[in-house]
Amino acid sequence: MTINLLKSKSKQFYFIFVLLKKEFALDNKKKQNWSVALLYLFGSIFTIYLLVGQNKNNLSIPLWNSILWVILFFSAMQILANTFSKEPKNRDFYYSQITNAESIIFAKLIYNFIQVSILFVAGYFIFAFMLGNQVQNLPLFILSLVLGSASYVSTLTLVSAIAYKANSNNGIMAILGLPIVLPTTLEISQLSKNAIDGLDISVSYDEISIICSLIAISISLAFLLFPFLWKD
Amino acid sequence: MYKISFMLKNAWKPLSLILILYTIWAGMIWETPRLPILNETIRNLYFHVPMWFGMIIILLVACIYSIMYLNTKNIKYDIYSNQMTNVGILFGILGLVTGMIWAKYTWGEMWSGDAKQKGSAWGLFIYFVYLILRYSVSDPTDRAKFSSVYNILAYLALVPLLFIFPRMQDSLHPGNGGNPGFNSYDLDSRMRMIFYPAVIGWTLLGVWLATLRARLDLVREK
Repeated sequence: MTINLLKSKSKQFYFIFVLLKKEFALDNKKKQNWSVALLYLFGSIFTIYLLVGQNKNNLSIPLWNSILWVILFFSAMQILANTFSKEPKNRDFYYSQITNAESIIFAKLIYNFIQVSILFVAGYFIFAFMLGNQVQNLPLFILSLVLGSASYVSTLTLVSAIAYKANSNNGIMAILGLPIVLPTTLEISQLSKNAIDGLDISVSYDEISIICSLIAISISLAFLLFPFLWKD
Repeated sequence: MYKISFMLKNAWKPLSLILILYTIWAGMIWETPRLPILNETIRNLYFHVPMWFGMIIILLVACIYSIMYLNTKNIKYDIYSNQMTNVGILFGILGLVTGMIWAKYTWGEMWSGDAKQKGSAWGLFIYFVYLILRYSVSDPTDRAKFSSVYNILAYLALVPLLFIFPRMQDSLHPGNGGNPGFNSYDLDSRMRMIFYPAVIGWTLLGVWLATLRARLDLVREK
């Protein structure tokens, strides 16, 4: 009886807040996740900077765009690999008794979205600082970064759940996630290229609508499929 | 000798072979309409396109079996889904190879970076990762769970890659850069007579192969 009350719908909204607070607290305690992710980002951008050479005009605009998105994708992968494995060992059973799987995945999605958006914006600023800023329509570019983080998070959270439950090493998450994320990556790089070229937002309505529908599909899939993974 | 009910129930299997042999014979011997650039290579329509049709149908069935496994947790569905996916991957590879052979004669080179080629190659890559995932997990129940979830994800990623993404770009493929395949083929009824049986024949062959392997796996499970 008590368990049923605990799992009622109105309680779930409260639990999502609690789970979000828990995620922030966990990352605050172990600052390792953020520091590794930022260091990874900085390291890869620095490597590209050294490889490109001192002359910043070596990079054409499409190349600048593609390299940026590749780096952002792998850093998102890095930080999303920790979504499930940062919990202490046997807490999963405790959570599954208290809340339903939908609340857990919802909290993880929101928290990952915040994390990856901050990571992407920080990554863009570091990239622009080292390799030259060629963006002409900055608000649209920031929008493409945010939409990109939303689409990566919506698919890769589920993939990291699969990788976590399969008890495999980190390599399998990259290989699982990379192909699924490709259709969205193509659209997003097109959108960010439009932003770099300084085109008006009305030109990009097609891409934005496709990206938003793909995000919606991925989030609904994550909601549908995650309970099957979570219950043992 | 075999019972009549057995022969009637399994009649579709030799039927698939007959249809395929018919399409191979008729496809090579009968006349085809003359179109610029395509000329005789339009015969590829009888082999390359049924591969992709068969792949889409078989992978859809595999996706449905995955959904049924997740709902009922009956391992039989997972075995069927796995074997269907294997056959779908095989058809995809064959479709890509026949497409490359055709492209050598029509477009001049085997890989020309055409949007549909890229999309289908990447879609196939998604399913190769499915195979890796399947081999990396040893516990059968866990393996069934993960591969079902990934199968659904993979099919829903494949559909935009094969259909939506090429339509939005200029493509060298006949019938693309706008509308679906068949209008600009000038597909006359003679070609249709060979094409539809080819699709049915290859799909039935794929299903036969998949069910045979699945039954073998089921016996091995016990």
